[in-house]
Amino acid sequence: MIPLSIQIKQGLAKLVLPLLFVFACLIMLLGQAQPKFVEAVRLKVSDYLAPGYALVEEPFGVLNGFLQNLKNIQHVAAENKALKDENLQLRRWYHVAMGLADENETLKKQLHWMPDPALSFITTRVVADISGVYRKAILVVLDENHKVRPGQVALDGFGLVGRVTEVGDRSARILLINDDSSRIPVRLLNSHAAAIMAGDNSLYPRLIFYPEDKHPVEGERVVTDAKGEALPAGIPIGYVHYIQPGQPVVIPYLPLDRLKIIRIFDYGMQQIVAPDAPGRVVSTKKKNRQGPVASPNMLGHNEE
Amino acid sequence: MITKKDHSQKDSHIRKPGIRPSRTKFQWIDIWVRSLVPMGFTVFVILFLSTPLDIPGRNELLPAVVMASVYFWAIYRPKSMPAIGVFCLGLLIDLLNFSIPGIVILLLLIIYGVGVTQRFRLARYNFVLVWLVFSFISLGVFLLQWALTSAFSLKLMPFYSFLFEIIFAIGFYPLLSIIFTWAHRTIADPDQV
Repeated sequence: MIPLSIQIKQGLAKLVLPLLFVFACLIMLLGQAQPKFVEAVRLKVSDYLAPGYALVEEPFGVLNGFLQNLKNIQHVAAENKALKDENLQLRRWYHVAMGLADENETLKKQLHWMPDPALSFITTRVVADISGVYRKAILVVLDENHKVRPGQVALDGFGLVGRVTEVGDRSARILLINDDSSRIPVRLLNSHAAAIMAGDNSLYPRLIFYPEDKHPVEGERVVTDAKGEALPAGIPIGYVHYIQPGQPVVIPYLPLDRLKIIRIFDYGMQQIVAPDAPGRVVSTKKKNRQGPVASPNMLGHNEE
Repeated sequence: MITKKDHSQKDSHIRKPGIRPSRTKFQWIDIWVRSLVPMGFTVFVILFLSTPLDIPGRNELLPAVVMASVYFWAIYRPKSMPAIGVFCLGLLIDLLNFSIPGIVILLLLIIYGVGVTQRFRLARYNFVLVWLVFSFISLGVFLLQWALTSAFSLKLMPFYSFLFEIIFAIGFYPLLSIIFTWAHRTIADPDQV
């Protein structure tokens, strides 16, 4: 330690706070000038913290599960009755679905339908909700030798939740569909209209840019559209609900703030390239191609 | 030896002159742990509120609790909440978050600066006035956060989150203040070794 007089020490102590203010402003500028660097640092930090998060979460997860159990015990009888009714109904639907699947199979055989390739996907645990007040994103843990790439699609048990934006060695960030910067082309299944699903940091992303003459219908299903080459078509997202007259939103099948386990799908968008056509003039940058269509068996929803 | 009765006395933290036996190793560890309580608590809150548990309003709660913690300890025990520590807390939040880096650091430093420069005045005020001052600062600070985030992302950010942050910060301060005051007198007081 360098010997300093008391006056100098006090003076230096007074300088610390202003200096830190300057550092904070410098970091802000750095974030604007070198976003790549900041992202790299963040990924390193999340990579190291991902196992730590799991440690913090585990005891509370157990406690939470126990409390949930206690709560559920109170409603067992009523729930049991409701489940029995629902089961009866579902069994009926199961037979209908099996009949339709059989019919579909025979029709496809007659048409010499080329089957969709089974997609590779991985299932991971959500270890942290890294949403800030103005951003919505989650962090998942991965193996050391994973094959997750930015741009891949993240689904929960029922539908789309987001896209992979950054990938580290042991973790990946997923930007949720309700983030303020998320814009996803979607298709409404009943009215057959295209629209854009825009996140606004609330739980339910809004529907915008739908056709004037085809307003979304309350309760109709929303799936992704392959426009813009960002996502494959046909991934279920949720259903339409009007929170106010003239303000349709998409309600995801599962709430976006309680994601526990998600699946990351590799749709192999890079591999689909149109075959060479001699003499055909192709614009240099923009390839006119259509993403694959997500059929139920691609998503792993098929029975048996 | 400090008895329980002495704790309640206002000047119990002032060490009286006199000869006492030198401290053992464990006592030094005890002092060290006690002085780490404020920072440790805040870091734990940051990590805990990042886990995906069913806590309503988690994202808005995190800045509110951290601000309250920084403000309280800046006034009552700045030695346990040094400026560098506040900077590191902000850096941790910024690195774990997806938002624009640096903004949270700036906000925490502002609130810390106000707390630490006005601490002798604020510590004399009664609780309601300290709370009122905190409410005003947090209003200004969160408004600044909203403005800076909007400016850097070149669009107007939704206003709801900002309102929730404010409500949480102001509403949670009394509760946290009770916990912190208790900790300040007991587990976070290095003079009680």
